[in-house]
Amino acid sequence: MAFSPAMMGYDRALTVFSPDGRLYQVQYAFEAVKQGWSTVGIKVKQGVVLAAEKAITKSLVDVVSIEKVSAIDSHIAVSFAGFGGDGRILIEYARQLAVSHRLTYGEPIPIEYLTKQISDLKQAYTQHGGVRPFGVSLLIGGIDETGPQLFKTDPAGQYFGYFATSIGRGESAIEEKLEKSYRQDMSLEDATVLALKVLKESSDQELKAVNFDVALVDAEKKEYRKLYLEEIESLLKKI
Amino acid sequence: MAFSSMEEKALHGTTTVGLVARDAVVLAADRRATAGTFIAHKRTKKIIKVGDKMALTTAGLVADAQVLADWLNAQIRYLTITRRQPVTVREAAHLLSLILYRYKSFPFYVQLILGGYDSSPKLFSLDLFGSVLEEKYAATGSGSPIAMGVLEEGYREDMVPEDARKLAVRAVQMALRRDSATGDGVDSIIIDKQGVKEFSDPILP
Repeated sequence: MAFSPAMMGYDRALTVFSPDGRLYQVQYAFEAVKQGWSTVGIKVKQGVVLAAEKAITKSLVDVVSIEKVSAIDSHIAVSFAGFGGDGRILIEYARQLAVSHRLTYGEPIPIEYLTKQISDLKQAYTQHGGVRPFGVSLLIGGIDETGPQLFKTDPAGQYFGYFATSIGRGESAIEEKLEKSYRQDMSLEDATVLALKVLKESSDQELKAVNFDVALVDAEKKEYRKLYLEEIESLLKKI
Repeated sequence: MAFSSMEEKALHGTTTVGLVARDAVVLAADRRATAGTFIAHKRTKKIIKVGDKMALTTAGLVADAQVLADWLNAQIRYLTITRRQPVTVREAAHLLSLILYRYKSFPFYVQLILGGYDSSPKLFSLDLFGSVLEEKYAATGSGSPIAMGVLEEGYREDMVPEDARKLAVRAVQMALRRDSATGDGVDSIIIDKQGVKEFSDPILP
């Protein structure tokens, strides 16, 4: 037998629990997330910032064309780590949820409700036959009626709210740094500088402004805004 | 015939006009909503903003127009975010016409003017069956024959936006004098590179 007795092929069928209560395919999906580029989300009173690293692997890739932080609606930003294709599909799904909420109720979608619906889909892909789980975690940040919001979803379909968090290869190192430096009364600019700082320090490459993708959702304006290259450059100088 | 009576209904109870000026589009509409001979509402907003730099004037059934405008707004929002590029006025007009055409056998009772600014000012007139006509100036509603007369006489290419707005308002005011289903003042807007500016004028010049 190729398998050790402990495994016994429990990783073959997605919907079969191992005797110690694991779903191996779902756990493997978590591993895919851990190999992704690092992404950081920070929530402060003034708003929410999502920042991601875009480390170049091949010199001929036009890194500017890679999008790691995207808009779901004018008040919500999203970033992902893990399988890029899976991330894209979930982001598209989220955009459709957001626009149909506006069409149905005439109001922007609450961020936790959106997060829950995405997580419901992810959960379904850990229970149904003939499918594989989504190999991505999402950071969802924005402003709604209740103020600034930041959520993280995982491949199992769980989600939690955070003040500051990270996904991807640098997750644990970055979260350690965030625990030390994060304060709830930080300005949004300081939070952005902190996000860039922890990403830069946790990367194995020398990251320049082009290697970051950063979006803010300001609590006052409630508007998603991507930072320009020059803005990232000047923020990097403040680290 | 069924269709001609529908068209009559869609034409009922409004005057709206739109025209292309120098680097701007101007729209104007009256404020009266009627239910038969009854004046149902006297501050009706018949110009509905869609996207950032577009607006629709609505003539016909209010419910149909509102649903279409909401639907168009949702589509524009979704497309703008997912394509990361703004929706042009022509694209918006085509989207609308597809919906109107799809419901040709059970139509939305509307006649719409869609105006906006993308790289230049654009104006489209749409009927309830889904035709899309690009125009320099257009009028819809029961007072449109009267308003059109004013536009025919006063319209020039390359008008200063404020002059164009005055002409549009005057066209609606003339319709308001001779059409009992048009009344209660005139709303107008100018859409240019900067965005949308709104105005309102009284019943008489």
